[in-house]
Amino acid sequence: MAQGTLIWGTPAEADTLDPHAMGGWIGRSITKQIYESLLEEELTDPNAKAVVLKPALAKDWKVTEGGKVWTFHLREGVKFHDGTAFDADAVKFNFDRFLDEKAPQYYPKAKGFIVGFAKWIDKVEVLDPLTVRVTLTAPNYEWFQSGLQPYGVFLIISPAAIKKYGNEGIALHPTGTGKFKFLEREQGVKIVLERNDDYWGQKAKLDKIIVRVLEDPTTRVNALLANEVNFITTPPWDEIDNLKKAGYVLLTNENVPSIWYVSINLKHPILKDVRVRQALNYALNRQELTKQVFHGTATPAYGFLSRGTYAFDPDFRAYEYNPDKAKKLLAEAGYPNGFELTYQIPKYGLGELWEQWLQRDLKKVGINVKIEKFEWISYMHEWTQGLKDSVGINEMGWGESIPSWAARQSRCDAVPPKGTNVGWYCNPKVDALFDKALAEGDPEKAKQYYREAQQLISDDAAFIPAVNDSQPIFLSKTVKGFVDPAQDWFDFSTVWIEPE
Amino acid sequence: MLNYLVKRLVGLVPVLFGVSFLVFLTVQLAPGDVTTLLLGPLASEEAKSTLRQALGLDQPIVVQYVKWLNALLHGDFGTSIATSRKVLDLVLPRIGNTLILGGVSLVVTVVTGCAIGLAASANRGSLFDRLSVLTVLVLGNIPPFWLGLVLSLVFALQFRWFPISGMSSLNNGGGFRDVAWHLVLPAVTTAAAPAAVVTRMTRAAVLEVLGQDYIQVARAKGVPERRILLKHALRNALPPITTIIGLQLGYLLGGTLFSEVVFAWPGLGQLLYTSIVARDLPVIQAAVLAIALSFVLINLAADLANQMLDPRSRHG
Repeated sequence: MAQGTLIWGTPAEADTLDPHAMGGWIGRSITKQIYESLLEEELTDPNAKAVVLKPALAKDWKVTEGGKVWTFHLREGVKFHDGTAFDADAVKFNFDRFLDEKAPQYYPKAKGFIVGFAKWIDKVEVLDPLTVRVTLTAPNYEWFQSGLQPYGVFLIISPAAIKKYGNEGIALHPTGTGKFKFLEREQGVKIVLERNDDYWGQKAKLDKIIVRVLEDPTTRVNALLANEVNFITTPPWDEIDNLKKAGYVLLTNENVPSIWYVSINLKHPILKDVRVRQALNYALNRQELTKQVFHGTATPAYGFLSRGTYAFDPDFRAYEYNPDKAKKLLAEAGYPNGFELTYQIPKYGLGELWEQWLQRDLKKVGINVKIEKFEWISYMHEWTQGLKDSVGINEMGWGESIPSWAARQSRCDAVPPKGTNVGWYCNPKVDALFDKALAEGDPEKAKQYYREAQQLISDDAAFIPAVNDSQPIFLSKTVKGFVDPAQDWFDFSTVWIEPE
Repeated sequence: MLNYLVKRLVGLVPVLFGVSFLVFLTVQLAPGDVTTLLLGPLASEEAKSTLRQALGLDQPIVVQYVKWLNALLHGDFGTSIATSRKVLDLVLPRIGNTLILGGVSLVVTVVTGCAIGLAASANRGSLFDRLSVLTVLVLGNIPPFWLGLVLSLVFALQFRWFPISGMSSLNNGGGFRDVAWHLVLPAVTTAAAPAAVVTRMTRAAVLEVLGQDYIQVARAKGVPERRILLKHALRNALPPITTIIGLQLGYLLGGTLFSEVVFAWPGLGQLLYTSIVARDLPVIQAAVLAIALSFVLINLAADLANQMLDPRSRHG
């Protein structure tokens, strides 16, 4: 029975479709349909506040020795899209692609992408045709889930396909075990997937998915209005009300792990003083920001642990809007008349509105912010070098479903060039708490460690958390069954199109 | 004539070398590189270093340029770093798509420009003349991006006469009629400003010719006005008109970029734009070379056309 075609208008082109050597949220949504991993994040539970791992190509798994040894029992009878069999050798083959330099399928580009996941692995053993055991170098209960986040994802590719098409060619012939098969790609125009009728489990409903690149935001909105697409992401904020009025369904998910935050330069002569950093936090009116700029598609962020993780504390509050207190702190620190500050931001195509809001709020307490805008790649280049002495603040919008993401932005050993703690923040007590959390098997205890770390980071005012973005999506009324997950990418297997 | 042609074609080579070297340098000078795009926010300097090594991007600029040039001379344009596809596979279809859009826009430009310009000059001072001059002034100064969005809003969204985006329909598209339907709005958008210039030039050139003595003589001899206009006036006004069209063609190629972005037309301009954003050097090189080559060849064609039309400017 025909269940229709989902046509998704995206703001950018997806990378290559080789999951071990690509990144980005759009690509992740596409690889999610074509490929699977041993375990997967559950993205079709409408009530989930955070994504949890569920069995996929492994029907069950055990974590032993305090988080150091992971044993996977694989599912029987699963086939790749090219008809070849999935088994423990196929899993090892995939691991060796970025772990074993002597393997014929070794791919240096994959190593470059998947390094965060790979560096924890000590050895991979095939115990029998349906059992694989991975031993880590140190305990890490978040290890596997970290391999499901973009920029080098551990999904299982058909070894036969890699042998046939080569390491470069597999991106053009993606072959996995997932609910959708790759049909064709016209670079810069569209990617087409079709339902896999030989899938081992519950089959998808849609006949086809077409991913259509529409870079210009107005064109994207118009394409939805003209029915050339029936699903769009990243709508411009000022079109939200119009689209709602026109009858399109707006979906937001209050649990998407996506936080807009400002990194403060701890080396800056003025910002070194914690009172100044606290003043910056008190000066930002987060409530009004979410109402007026985000039109309700975001919530205020008070702490550095984003929503969408099990450690998130919805009741955490800090630095609630208080411009008078901000001015008092600035005076105490020796800046009663404020000061000048440089703020570096990227151009990401939606108008840089919230940055101007922050600039205005800081002006109200006497701080004159000079905004320096960069084209995206130039900005990324600057950002990863770390804040220069003369620059006060910069920003990023990001987040992951695992709370250790917060550690990667704030650990002492994560400063550039090794990591992305671009504000040079360092508090050994915070690092100790993160270490404990990663090695703690009981999620309730781990949660406490993360929350203590969040409190310390907040007391140090190392960042200005601004808002949690609820990732607005617009759908045509005929698109049914879509679950908007607590994640930046989607599982389309529950979707169908109602005939008009 | 042949000598002249050969001399001009040989002169192409240093131009293309120079362009390719300049592009190479400029992309290196821009901060950030393709590893920044590929690895995204997760990319520590360390991670990018590792990837750069894997991609061979850590070698000195001169070495990289020489390698690229060497491959080029053997017909290998290299592989796109962002998409892993062969550069020629990416660029060639795009050249075709842009030529289609550019070609149709050129026809619209020439036909409407000459027709309106001629009609205006034949009815100098009339309401038609005044209105067309005004329209030309406005159209010639509207940013193509804005014009495209307005046309899209009115004719695609409001009236549903044309599609919003793309070169063909997503489901079972691609036939001649489907592409032609998709071409209308982008071609009008691209052609607007050049057509305005051609209209003005045609009007001015024809008016100038109409003021010549031999036209008076022809009129006195009783030649019909229509024949005077088309056979004598237009024919003699062609050299400056052809030159202007040749120049406009260059701008037309550039103008297609705006239409390509607004209408998501998969052309060379859009490819160049996305590969600059991605710092995908092999693709940028190939796209810029294609554009440089087109410019030079078009100007050559315009010069040759002029020589054929105007015996006074012929070279030996």
